[in-house]
Amino acid sequence: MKKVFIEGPISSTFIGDAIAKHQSKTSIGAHNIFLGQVRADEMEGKSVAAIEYTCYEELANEKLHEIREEAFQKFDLICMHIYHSLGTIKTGEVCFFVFVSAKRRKEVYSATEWIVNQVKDRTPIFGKEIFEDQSHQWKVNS
Amino acid sequence: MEVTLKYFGQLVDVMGSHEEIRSIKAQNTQELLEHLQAQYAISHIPFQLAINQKLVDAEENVKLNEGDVVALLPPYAGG
Repeated sequence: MKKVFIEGPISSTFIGDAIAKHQSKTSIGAHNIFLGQVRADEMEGKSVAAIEYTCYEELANEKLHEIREEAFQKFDLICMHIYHSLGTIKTGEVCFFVFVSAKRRKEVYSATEWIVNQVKDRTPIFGKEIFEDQSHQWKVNS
Repeated sequence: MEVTLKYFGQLVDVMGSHEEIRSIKAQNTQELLEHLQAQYAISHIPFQLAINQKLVDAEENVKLNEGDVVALLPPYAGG
């Protein structure tokens, strides 16, 4: 089972290292990356300062494994990685990183979009939007 | 019988914990939900059940067994 959940934000160093690790895989001709960043949504004059992510880790890992298997069946990929943050992620920080690699570029665009949507729809991850005044509301994916 | 109840998202706020072991009289998910909804203000929160990590359809009434892990999952918000 590949490790998906990371405590805290996903740093640009982590993302850079993930790219560098693929230099030895020379059958790859195209990478595509999706990065989800915490947005300062406004609600009744208050701005979101951070999102606190939690998940049902056992079920989430099972669902992510299914998504991974289906992605390899559906698209002609060489490799794919999914990372998601847990804990408090401030606005402007990256909380979601999907990295898809294939021989040619055509596959990676559709695969990335499919994987991002599947993770959002099928993975039991929960987000508490914390406002600047420390009040909160529970985020629901639209 | 005893079951483990796991709460997530907004339900943690309402139930006041992430997880508890409960002695229940309910024999199935429908009875368990009726019992929880009568005791706690959770009827305004949409959620789905998972029993032992298997998702249960909304209209499905599943028999509960000793030691089951029942998770109450509000809408997902990953990404």
